[in-house]
Amino acid sequence: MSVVNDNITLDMFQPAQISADESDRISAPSIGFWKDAWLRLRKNKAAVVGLFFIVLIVIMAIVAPMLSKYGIDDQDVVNRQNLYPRIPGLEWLGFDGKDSTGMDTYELNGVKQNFWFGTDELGRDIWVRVWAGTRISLIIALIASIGDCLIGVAYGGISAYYGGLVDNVMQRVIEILAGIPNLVLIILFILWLGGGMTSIILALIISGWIGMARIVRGQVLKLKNQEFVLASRTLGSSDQRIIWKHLIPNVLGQIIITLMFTIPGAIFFEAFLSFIGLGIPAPAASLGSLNQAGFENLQIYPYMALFPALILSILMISFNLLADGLRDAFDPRMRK
Amino acid sequence: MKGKAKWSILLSLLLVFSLVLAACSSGGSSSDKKDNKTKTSSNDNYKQVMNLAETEEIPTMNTTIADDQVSFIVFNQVYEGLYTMNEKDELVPALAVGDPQIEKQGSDYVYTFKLQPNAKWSNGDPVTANDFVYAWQKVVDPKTKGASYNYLFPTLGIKNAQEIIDGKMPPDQLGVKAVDDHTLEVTLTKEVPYYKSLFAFPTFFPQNKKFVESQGKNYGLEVENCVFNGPYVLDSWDHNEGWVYKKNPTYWDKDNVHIDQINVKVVKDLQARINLYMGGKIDAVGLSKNWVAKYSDRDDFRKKLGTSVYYFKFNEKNKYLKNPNIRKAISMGWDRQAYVDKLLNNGSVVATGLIPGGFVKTADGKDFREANGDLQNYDLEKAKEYWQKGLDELGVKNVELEILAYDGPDYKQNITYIANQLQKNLPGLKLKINQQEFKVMLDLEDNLKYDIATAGWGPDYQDPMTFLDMFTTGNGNNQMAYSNPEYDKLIKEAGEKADDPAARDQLLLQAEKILIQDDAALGLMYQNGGASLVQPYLVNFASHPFGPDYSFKFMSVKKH
Amino acid sequence: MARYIAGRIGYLIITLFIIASFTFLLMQLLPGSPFNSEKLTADQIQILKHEYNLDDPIPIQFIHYIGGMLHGDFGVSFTYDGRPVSDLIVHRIGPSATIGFEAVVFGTIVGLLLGIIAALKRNTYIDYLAMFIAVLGISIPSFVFAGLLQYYIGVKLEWLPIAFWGGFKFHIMPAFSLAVGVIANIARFMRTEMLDVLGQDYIVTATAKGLSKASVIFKHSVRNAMIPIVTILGPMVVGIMTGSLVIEQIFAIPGIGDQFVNSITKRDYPMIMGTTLLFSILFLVVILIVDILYGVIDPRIRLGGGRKS
Repeated sequence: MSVVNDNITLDMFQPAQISADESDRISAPSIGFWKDAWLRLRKNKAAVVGLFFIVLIVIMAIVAPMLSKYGIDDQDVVNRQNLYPRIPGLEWLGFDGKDSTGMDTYELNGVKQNFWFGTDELGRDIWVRVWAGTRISLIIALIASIGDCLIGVAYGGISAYYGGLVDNVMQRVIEILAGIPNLVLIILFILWLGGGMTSIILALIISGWIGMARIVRGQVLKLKNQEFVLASRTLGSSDQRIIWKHLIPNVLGQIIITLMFTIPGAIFFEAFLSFIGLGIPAPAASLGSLNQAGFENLQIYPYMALFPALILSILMISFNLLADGLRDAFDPRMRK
Repeated sequence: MKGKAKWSILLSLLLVFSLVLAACSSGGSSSDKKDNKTKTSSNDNYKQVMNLAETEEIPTMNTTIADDQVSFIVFNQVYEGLYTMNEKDELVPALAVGDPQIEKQGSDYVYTFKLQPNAKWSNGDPVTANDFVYAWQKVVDPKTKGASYNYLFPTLGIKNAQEIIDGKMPPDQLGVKAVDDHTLEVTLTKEVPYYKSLFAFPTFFPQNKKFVESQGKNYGLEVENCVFNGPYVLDSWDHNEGWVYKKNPTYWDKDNVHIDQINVKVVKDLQARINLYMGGKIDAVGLSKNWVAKYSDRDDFRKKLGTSVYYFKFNEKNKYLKNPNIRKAISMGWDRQAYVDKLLNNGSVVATGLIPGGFVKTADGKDFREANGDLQNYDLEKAKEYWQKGLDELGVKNVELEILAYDGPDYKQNITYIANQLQKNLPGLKLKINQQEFKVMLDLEDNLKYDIATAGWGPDYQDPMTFLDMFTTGNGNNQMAYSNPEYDKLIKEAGEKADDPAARDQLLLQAEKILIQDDAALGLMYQNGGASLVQPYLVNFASHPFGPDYSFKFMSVKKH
Repeated sequence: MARYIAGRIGYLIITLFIIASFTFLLMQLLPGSPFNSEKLTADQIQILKHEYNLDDPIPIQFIHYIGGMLHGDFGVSFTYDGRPVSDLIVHRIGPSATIGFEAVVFGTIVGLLLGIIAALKRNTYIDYLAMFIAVLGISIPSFVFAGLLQYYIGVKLEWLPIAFWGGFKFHIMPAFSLAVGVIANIARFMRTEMLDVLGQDYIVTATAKGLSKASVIFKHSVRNAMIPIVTILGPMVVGIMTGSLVIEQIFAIPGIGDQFVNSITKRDYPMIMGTTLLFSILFLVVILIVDILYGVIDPRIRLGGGRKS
């Protein structure tokens, strides 16, 4: 019934003219490793949100203190002590400058201007202190993490690449260092060097690079026996070239992921140090010291705890989301 | 499918939580009932029980070596000396019966005390005059390690005390003798108006020689290694957790002890202590700064002025601080009233002299502080004037100094305020804040490695001398290279002149004026106050102005 | 295996020795000395230093210390009038270990559940919710969490004791405060591992064989995914047993974390050494156990003999 006559004839076909180079061409636009990772990261909504907040907070940490006419240590205990936050337009959210009993703290003190995050017991603008503190915490975390990274990559890379006795000795050293509890190491170190940003950063680096070194070593060990390295070696590449052109770029993804997890770790540890009184010296502030002050006032002036805790939490969440996203993005197994 | 998954999650979560809840309720049910019982019973049939929180573990139970607040509080309940301080802060006889008989022998004064004949140690031994002799000789013996309060013996003028401490005489030469079991004879080289407050101080308490020696190295380590003679005994002691006092059944005056049991817990966190008070688990709690503002309207809120004075020490080895005008400018250049009202806010007052107000009276019955007037005040104009004068004398425009402060939680805001005020008010001054732990601070002060240090002093006995003798040339507590021969001379004379109180007062008043007003050797901050919440059913619960903070013997619990 | 363990124990002892020397040196470099006091005179401090051999050169002091340590003598505390360090530590490790253990057990169970659910429901709102809870857990400082718990559950609702150390109900809030971090870490880790395992060929095989979904999930996926958890669990246990200082202070628990910080501020040298060594021993032993366990659980890893390269 449905037999349609076979009216397909040979002259309907034509040989395709495909040249030899044509067959090697990839029709889709070429996507590099980085671009591919970025494209996949972009699809991960959580990671994008994380990235957005990190960028936002970084910008705020740079710009926001300039939006207030006060500096981080501009005090006035007599006229503007413990003012509640007041943000015009957001009064309905509770940012109306009234305390828990409904008293308007601005009216009581005869203050005209608005303090968006309120003022502390020395009458300092918390808005300025929170963002300036965020800046210091970010700087500490960033420098400490980069320091971790440099030492860790160098140590792990050398250990794995040269292998043998070098690797053996270097690994024993790491094992011993890793055996010292972080808390002990950091506290003793900071007390020895005296408080301040530099000693906090150094202490964080001293305890933090080991993780990075281990990860880099593991990755390099895996890579160095793979065919493309062998091929490069056969073609006469120097160690230098192999390390810089082949190994490092391939480990970079892992390094960045670890870095993203190290930064919030460092921010958190700085906060912990402040809590036990080893943080940034007054009058400067960090997220840690602000959180500690906030905690002391948690039941009295909750707003003092709210903003630093909120920003610390958002930062932590964002870095973690971004790091998770990056891990997925760099992981070839996650490719769809 | 999806809906099912949701439920399974919910179910598993519920399972976990119910497991936890089940575990809690089964594990905690017995103590739960106990809690309820005390709660209900306290309503109709209240008990003489007090619950308190302390900030530290007891460092030592040995009276001869203790030097901390917590130990002294404990000693004052479980041990007893010749005198004690009652609820009105008066010194009353404890082991001593009445006042001593004072007799002048040559240049010495012999004080003869009759002791309570019924006083017993908790192991049944009688408390005898020999127990005093034993303990006191141990304190001054240079071989005793860590007898930090031994300097009180020469201060009191006990014969040969200084020589023994310096190792020039054996300890048995100390001017104390047991005439018989219940008669103690103490030889002083001078007549001392404040002897009772020292005899109420724990370093002067007796020790049961036989028991202490039988315990050897273990003495005082656990409850069973202690023997008590005070109104209370330590019934249990869980290190770092807390301890329990019970009324001492062998105490000679037990009929006048009202509270049967006091439970003390170690709680280091202030917020936790306040939460415990609000939850009815402890009966009193000290407050600081912002908590005062929060609770000052409550009925159970109390404020009390203390007798400790806080000040800056100026290291005169520093080239800038050597200049008296610079010191004066810094002492006067910051608003202390705002500091006391807005930041401390706990009943503290501005200190206008080294001797606190309400502490001692002069011979004519006037308060020492009032008699000498305000020696330092906040005066911005004058401070600026002195500052400029000082800078001109030094030939500099900018002065950079470090200010050393203790590393506690409250100190940070306070020191930030002071540094900010001074930098704002004195042009060209740059102050760097250096917060350090207590041990480090002491080390820096010992070695004069600081510029300005914040410090405080609480009196050991009721006399201006407890403050003033620290600043004589070369005194171990001077630690700021301050030296004024005139001042030294006045203090020395006052130390010797005990028989003419009025003349002695004049010397001390003048010495304070030189130290604070003329030399500005110290920059005064404040006289401490204490704010607290205390359950209204505690009767006579208040701290003493000097010596150990509390005497539970005189307290009781009202019906509630 | 036996040779491997013996070798590891050898390393452990060398490591401990190096840690001991390092801590000893660092401790001596700290500013301040244990006997600084407002009331003690220089002579008296000298007597005290002599009493505790602190006037010897540091190497001699160290030899003394190691010598004592080999006899089980960790010295006496400077702050708590002559009480042996070993007694103090034994007394205080109990509470820390108890809440630490409870936190790890509870946290691991809840964390595993969250992680598994999140992985199975990948990229659904359940996944997001679970991971949000997890990330929140790492992001909120534990002291803030503990402070809020204490106030609302203890003071306001009166459901649980506000503080102090006692029966199980006293453990709940501190253990839960500590468990939050564990839950978060385990959940995230478990999710990643589960996703990894779910993508493996043997899971596809198992499903293709027609095994029930439950069987695939529990027999094949979860069991395999849990293996790497052992590695992070070890350091976490030690971290929690020793690092709960803030929680210990808030809930007035007489634990070891508080003791450690206290010993540092008081410059109580024997106590600093004692606690540091305890932490290190715990840490090293747990890592050793984890490595051995790992070999036992995971057939792909054979320690010792079968090592290549």
